[in-house]
Amino acid sequence: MRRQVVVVAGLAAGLLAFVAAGCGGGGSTSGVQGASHTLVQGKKGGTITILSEGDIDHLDPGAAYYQFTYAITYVTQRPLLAYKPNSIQPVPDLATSMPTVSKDGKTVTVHIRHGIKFSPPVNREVTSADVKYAIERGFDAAVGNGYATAYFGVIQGAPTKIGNTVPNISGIQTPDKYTIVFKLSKPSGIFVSALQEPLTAPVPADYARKYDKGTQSSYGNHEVATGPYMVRNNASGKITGYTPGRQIVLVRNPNWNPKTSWRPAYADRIVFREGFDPTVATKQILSGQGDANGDFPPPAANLKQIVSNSSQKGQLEFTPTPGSRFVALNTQKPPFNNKLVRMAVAYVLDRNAMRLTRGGPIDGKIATHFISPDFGSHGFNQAGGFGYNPFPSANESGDVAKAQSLLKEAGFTSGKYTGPQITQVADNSPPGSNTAAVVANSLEKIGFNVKTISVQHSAMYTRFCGVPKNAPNICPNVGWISDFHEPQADLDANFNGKNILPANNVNWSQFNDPQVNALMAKAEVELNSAKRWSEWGQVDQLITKNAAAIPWLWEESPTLYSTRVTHASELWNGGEPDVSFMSVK
Amino acid sequence: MGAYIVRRVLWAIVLLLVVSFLTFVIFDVFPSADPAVLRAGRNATPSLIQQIRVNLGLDKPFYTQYWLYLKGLVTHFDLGYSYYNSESVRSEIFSRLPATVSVTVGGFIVWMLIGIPVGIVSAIRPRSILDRSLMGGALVAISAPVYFLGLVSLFLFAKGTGQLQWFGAAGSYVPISQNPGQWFNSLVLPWVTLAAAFAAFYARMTRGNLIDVMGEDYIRTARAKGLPESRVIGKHGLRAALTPIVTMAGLDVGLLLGGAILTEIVFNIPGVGRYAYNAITNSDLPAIQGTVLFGAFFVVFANLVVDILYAFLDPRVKYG
Amino acid sequence: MSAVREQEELRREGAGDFVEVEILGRTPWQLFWVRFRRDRVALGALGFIVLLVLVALFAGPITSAVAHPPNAQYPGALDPLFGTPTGPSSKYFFGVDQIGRDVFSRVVYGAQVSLEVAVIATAFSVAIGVVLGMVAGYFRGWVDTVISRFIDVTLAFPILLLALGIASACSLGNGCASGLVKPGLATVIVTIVIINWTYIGRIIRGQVLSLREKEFIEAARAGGARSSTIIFREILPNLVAPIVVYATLVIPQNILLEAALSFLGVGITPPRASWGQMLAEATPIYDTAWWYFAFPGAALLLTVLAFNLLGDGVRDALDPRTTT
Repeated sequence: MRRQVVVVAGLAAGLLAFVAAGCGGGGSTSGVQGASHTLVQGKKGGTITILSEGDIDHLDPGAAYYQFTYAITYVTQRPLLAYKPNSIQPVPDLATSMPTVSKDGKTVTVHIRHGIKFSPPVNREVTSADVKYAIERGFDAAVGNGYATAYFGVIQGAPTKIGNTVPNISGIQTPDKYTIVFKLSKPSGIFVSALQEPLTAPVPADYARKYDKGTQSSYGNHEVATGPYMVRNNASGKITGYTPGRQIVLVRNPNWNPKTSWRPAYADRIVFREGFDPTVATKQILSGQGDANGDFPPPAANLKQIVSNSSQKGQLEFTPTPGSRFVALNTQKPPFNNKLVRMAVAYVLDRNAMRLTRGGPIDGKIATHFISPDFGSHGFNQAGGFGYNPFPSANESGDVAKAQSLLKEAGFTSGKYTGPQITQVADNSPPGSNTAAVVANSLEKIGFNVKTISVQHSAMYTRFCGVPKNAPNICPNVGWISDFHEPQADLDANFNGKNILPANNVNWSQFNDPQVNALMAKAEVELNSAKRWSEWGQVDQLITKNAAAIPWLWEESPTLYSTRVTHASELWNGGEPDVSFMSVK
Repeated sequence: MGAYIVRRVLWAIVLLLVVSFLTFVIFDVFPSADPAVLRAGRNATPSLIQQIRVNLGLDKPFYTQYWLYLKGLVTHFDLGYSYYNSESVRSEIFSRLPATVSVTVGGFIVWMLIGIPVGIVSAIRPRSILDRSLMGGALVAISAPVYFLGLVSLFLFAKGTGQLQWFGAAGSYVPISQNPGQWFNSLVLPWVTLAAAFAAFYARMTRGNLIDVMGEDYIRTARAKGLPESRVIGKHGLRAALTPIVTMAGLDVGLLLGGAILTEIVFNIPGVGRYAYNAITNSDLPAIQGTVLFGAFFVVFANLVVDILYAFLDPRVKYG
Repeated sequence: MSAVREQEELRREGAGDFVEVEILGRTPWQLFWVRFRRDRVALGALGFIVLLVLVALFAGPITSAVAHPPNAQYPGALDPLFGTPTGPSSKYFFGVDQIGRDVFSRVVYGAQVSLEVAVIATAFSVAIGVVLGMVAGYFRGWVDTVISRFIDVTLAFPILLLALGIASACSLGNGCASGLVKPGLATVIVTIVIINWTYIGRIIRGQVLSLREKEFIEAARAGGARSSTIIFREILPNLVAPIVVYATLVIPQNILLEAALSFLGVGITPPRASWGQMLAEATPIYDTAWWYFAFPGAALLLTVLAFNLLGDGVRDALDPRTTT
């Protein structure tokens, strides 16, 4: 689903040299580890082609949630804040300047630019009422926004029960045409960052209301744009440029004023071609028939060939994905309700072999805690950086001896587990199935008898791991991508006790530690960034030590560019190509 | 005769209804994933999921859901909307139909053009070396799974990834209106792969039928009358031998039009079969219903046509 | 394969008219053996199958002696930088797969799955099909109508989709029929049986329909024999030939069907090795790890070919008038 981001781990000197050469200094942010890329000046005109394996999830900015979809959403829609490609710090896009927060943290004020117009056929100026409507419709089940409650539920008057109408949220006030005032029910350390979500991109109520009626909004089939590009439509507003699963065509938005935006928008046309086999698409990009990969990494064998080819390796860029992959242990039933047994598992897992199933060192760094390196001073450093590794082993291949001594402490006198069979629910296709097989193999070294139930990825989440009633002992194929570079977006959903739900549960370990919950609650209302990040760093360490979930990979995504275009990988979005900054050479 | 046709048509309609009902039972009562949760996204609240469940009609008892589905199908020919991407299932199937038709019809032409002549040649000289080697080759082609043949042919011949880069790689399909050259090139390997097993089968059938027919009395009479051998085989032998073959071909085409799943998967062709497979993977009930019904329609229709044809040719059948 | 095709094959084989009397006074089965022994190709196929059965039975000792356990992972055999598998070598005859398992051992163990499916699924589907076919054909009336309509409905489904549906429904967690049918081999067998019994059911029904009109049946009925006696004592022995012919036709197809289901991800569950599943995993990396599709695929091809050749030989030996 989400595209993964890969950073070279630098185990081989050759690879290290390549990384150092390929990713030059270029403007960036507090302490991001060696992954910022220089942006190149381009020239206007031409067509850029992006190849993908799967489809976007929704064109509707109120519903879009895939990294790949954001490559289209952010260049066609203007949320209040957005990102330059080589940065993790949001900057004003629709807004004139960064929002101001009152002293008590409960009032956030944003001013929007004058003269921003919707694309044809709406054509009129954007006002604050359009932003209000856009956020409110996120609470309508017909639109189906997945993060509205998580990030915007703190606004006064935001509904707790989702229905089939667009609610009027009293806490979103529009004193004039260009001002929005958010009244929050309590201070929130991340609310300002959350304003970069596409939910805040304006939607014209007068035009959209008729499409939002009923049980399933069709606004996505009729949407208008505010960004430099728009999905091609006809005179009455119906989208003609989207053929599901096949192709999406972006053309210039005639009503976009370049003077109001920091996006260069060099290309005249952008075509997303979907349904490709990754190997075939990779070859096409190398031969110039495509310009970049949208939602898949080039397969490991192809990466190998490209990296060893001196003329091709410059076409690859590696970008870290915020978040991590981990193995979740069910803390609500034996044997993993015993912390010592969990720690034994944390010691014995062969994380190196697990990483090999995803392509080896080129796929990323082995994770030693949860907040990933690209967070930099936004929590990664505060959690101890690369130095914090509570369960070390030689070459990260697992320490069987240490695991056995922990099991002895837990009461298994032989040093091997002697209890009943345990189950894990895993993906039924590679690489997930392979990772699960390696996990089972590691556990067998200390006496576990692991039964693997193989199901479709979607079933794994929606029927088993996401439903506490049906959850197995181990969910080896889980992970989390942080929506933005605030640790709360990385850790809260997976490890806060209040987020254990009967269905669609993403706290897969069912972790519920009062000390950690209290610290998270404190950090959530902390407006001082330095304090907040330090608190979340502590939270990360506490969760990691507990071994309810065992992180194993901080992934880095390879973006492969053809030689005919300049590069612009989105650091904030896992390396997706930013088509508003790319240009034909 | 008329009564027979009416009876068969009515029965065909009943069959399709039963098929759609059973599909509903299998995929709705035992879904592999939860569509409401999939639709809601990973951060969603239980309230949103519940509302989506109501919106999709999943909270109703399953016979109500089925009845609503049937009503939509019969009155507006509406196959519903995909749970996965909310697109109309009908338009998705029809947009993928040209690809499936390209694969099936092309494959059909190839297997008939190869299979029948091979069968005839073998039948003319039974047990000769030519016969044995052709039939041996045919047996090998029947024994290989389609996806294995597909992988071997991609490995050997696909542009960009194969050893000899002659033909289009997996996923290079484009509609014929867009680029006829590439359309053709991308289909060569799928046609040959699909046709291999069928051609072999039809070769064997043709050979067997022709040998049988050649032993019949009226052939002996024709020869006794002094007709040249070519006329004996060509006019009398082939017609009798080929009739059952052609009807069987009709049935096979019907089956494949429902979507040659394995071929479409190996060669990444955006056809109906691939769509059906993705639908099952995503537990996308409306799409599953649509594709199964679609496939069943062709199977039932082809059977219907064949039965009626047989009734014309052999009156005894009507009363069976 | 449609039912019509099956019927065509059997009609051509003339398997239903098998009541010959040989001048030398040999029984039909002795005749069969004489003819079969002369067919070298069929004997060769039989030899291969026997060899395969031995390999499957002794998979453990064989792999322990010359190779590695089939589920043991050797990450050392993978490229340390990219995780890509290495090809055939003196240590791993057929190379390794993506998590470093010995492909040779997995191909050997895969034979077990294919043969188990071939034997068990075929046996069950034939048994069910024969019994129901006989009942439908002999009793006629509403019993016949119900069974025949059931067959019609099953055959109207696009086969692979029906198989996929049943198999994926039963592949979840505890399987279906309240846990009686577990995911993996059991599900595959049940799926194949549900689809397959219909073909032979139809064929047997047709045979019985014509047999029941014959005089020896009338005589038995006149003599007061019960229906079950007539069915099993008088009719069934005359069906042996078409049953054998059908079984030889369908065993290789069931092997292919299991492989197809595993290829589509709803067959044998990991970590158990199945040739179809190995082909599925090999598909995305076919151009860089050719050994991973070549060896399981060849094994599948040779096995199915052997069964097809054996089937041809059996059919020829049963009735030499029709030469295949």
